[in-house]
Amino acid sequence: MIDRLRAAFTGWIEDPNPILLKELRATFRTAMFVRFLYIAVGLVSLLVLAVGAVAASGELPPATVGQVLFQLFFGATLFVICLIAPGYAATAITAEREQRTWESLQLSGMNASRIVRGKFFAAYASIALVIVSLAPVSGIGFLFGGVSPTQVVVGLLSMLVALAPAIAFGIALSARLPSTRLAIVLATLVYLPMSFVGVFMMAGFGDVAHREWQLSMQGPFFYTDAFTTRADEWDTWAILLGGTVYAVGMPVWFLLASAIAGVRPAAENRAAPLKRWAVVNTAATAVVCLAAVMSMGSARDMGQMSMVALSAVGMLLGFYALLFANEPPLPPRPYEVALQRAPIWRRALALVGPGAAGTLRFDAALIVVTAGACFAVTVVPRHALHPLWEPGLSYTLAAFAIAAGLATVALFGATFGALMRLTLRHGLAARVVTSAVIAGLAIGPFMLAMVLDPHSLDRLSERAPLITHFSAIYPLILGAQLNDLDAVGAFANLARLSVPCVTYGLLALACWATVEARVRRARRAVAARRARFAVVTPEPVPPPPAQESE
Amino acid sequence: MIRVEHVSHWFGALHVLHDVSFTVPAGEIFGFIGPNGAGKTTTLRMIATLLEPDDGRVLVDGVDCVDEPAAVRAVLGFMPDSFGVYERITIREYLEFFAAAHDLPRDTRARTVDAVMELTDLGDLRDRLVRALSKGMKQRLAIARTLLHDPKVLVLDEPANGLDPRARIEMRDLIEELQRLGKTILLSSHILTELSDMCTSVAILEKGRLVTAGSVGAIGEQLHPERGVRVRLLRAPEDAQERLAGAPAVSAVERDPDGAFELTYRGGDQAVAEIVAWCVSQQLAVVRVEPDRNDLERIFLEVTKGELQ
Repeated sequence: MIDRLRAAFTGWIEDPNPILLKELRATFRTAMFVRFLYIAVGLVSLLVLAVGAVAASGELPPATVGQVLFQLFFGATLFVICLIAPGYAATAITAEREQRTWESLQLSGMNASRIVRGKFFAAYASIALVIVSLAPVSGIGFLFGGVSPTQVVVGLLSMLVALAPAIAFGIALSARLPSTRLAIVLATLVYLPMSFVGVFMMAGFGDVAHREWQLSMQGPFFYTDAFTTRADEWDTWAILLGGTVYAVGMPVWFLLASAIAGVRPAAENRAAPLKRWAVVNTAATAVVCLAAVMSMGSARDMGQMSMVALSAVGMLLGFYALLFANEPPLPPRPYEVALQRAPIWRRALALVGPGAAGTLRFDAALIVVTAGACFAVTVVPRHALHPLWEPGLSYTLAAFAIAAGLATVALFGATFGALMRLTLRHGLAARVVTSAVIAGLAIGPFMLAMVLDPHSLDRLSERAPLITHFSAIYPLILGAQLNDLDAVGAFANLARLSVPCVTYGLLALACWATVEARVRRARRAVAARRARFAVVTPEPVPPPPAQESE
Repeated sequence: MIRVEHVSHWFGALHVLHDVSFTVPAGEIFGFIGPNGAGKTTTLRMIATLLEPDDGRVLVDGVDCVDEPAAVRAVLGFMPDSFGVYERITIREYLEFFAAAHDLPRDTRARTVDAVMELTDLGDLRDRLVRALSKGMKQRLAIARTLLHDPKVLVLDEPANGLDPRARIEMRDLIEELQRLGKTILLSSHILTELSDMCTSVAILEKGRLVTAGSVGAIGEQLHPERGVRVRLLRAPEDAQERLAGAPAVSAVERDPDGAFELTYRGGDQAVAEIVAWCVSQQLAVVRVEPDRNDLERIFLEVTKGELQ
């Protein structure tokens, strides 16, 4: 294993991805890029110096001024990253298409994943160079104290981490959009507000960490202080490093898998990279749910956290349902040809392989396993640690209602989405229609209940009208009701779960059966067409008789 | 080497190819001719695995382009009609990039790039940036790129498009050199005189339908069993016309005002050789023999109606 890793690393160093080399060569020959480096370093330096001069002339202690400059520098660097990196990366693939070099790249034998990896690392390396160029400016903070070198190093490393999703986002858009200009505008306009939300969330975490871990530093860059002063505590690494791997690593992986699926021609297995991501994401989500529940002190907190975690998992199930609603009826032909020569285990995997039917089976299994695993990891530890806690059973039934109810709704979403894809022959349209239908089914029953009786929703948490039981979000309401009851009451009320489960379950089965039937029909049609060419041989076309000249 | 079998294709409601079938034998330079919008590029893109036919199939070296596109790409080099190049790298870097992309072994990569640059006469320009190249040089570079993985088949869409006369001649020489190296070449072009010089066989496409396909000579012979050859004699004797009329396969002889004889004959190149041998046996001093040129142009004009779809 180590030898194989060493060989892979040596190969990567000695013979790097050709796109990476080619892009870097082209970038460093671009005068505009070098000018941008100068301008970025100059502007950030000016900003830090100006604020430093103003802050130092006031009454703030030097250590506080140092911390202010530290946060200002990294805030400015993060802003530069979020402003330019998505737009820069968004040109990666659209420019190839617009400059008509894409086809030669496709025919060069490089697969989509190698192309996307090369594009990602090339864009990443270019913007990382901007961060490295800015690094010396962070030294200004040292003049005032209050910041350690370790904090600066951690801060710079975190900038390199923050760069990855920005680049991956740009690449993912670039793989899907037809125009470079549109990709740049969209990448910048969408990513910048998203990054502000991220910074505010980090600032919130910073407040909590400042209080719980007694950190001297507040704000979004609190982790630099935590890694410096609490490096010997396991929870520092578990939460900050593990959280980063999940919160940054999984989205980056998803965006790159989406880009690979986007650039693969229709004749290839487009869903495979997303399926691999989804399997790992399910495992990672289960681990995060487990960690979230285990981090709670009391049984009640654990129970409530399991409800929160499963509600969030419900959103993930909805995402899974829509994610795979873009499969053509049949698997790509090269996949089927390769399958004929594949070992038996590979042929067995074809049951959940590409094509509408296989991918729907995969999606359904994924939804059930995700809901089941997350339910288990959020409930079992509580029962193991607090077996005698009286309301425990009610909380478990509430968690079950949420997990089972939302999984059934997600199964309906997945099957309906697959059916819409086959009907409309357009992935985006199928997703939009499915989302609209699910949203309608979530809100519609409540609106209908209000029309029938304006006061019917007044005591929703205690007694929901029967018609609202058909809502796609009713399992969440039922979960909230069940954990307020005793075990007997919870058992008695669990029967209400049968309304959404049976309704959406039957609808899902009907959609599923229709998808399978359509796929079988398409397979028969293709087989009949191909059978014609098994016997037909081309005949030379005779020249037509010469035309009479007029 | 290439078999196109009953291929049909639609772009939305537009039926761009109607049941097209033809075969390109190994080692040939095969011309693909047709007016703009006839479906040439669509067919070539199917052969290059960039487009799936809606009906029918395409085989390259016996491999189905839909079933195993990767295997087809391994034996095929494709130069599209309009293509882009990476402007900010040098010729050598450009070719090294594609050599690496094709996964050529590292130890042979530089040698292969050198050999390809030598073959395409780009060796002296190896360190020049691609953006500094002329159109003709960029065409050469594109051909060089298609040769890196030593494909058996080259598909060139309008390779001489937009080139000046010298560059066209150089391109023709390069294509003929590639044929001598054993490549099968399928090329489309509007410049029929050039194709008639180079191509051994042609297919003519109009409005998405194949009008005719086969060797230029055979098609010409079927369209016009009688062909013409112009013979100029040194000091033609009085009875030259009568004597020439007795040559094998000759059905008529006329004398031009400038003194040359226009012979009408049946048959192909063999018949021309026999006419020359007859002249020699009759002690007629032959100084020039000019069979009718531009057969392809004539064939094209005769079999197509000039309609666009």
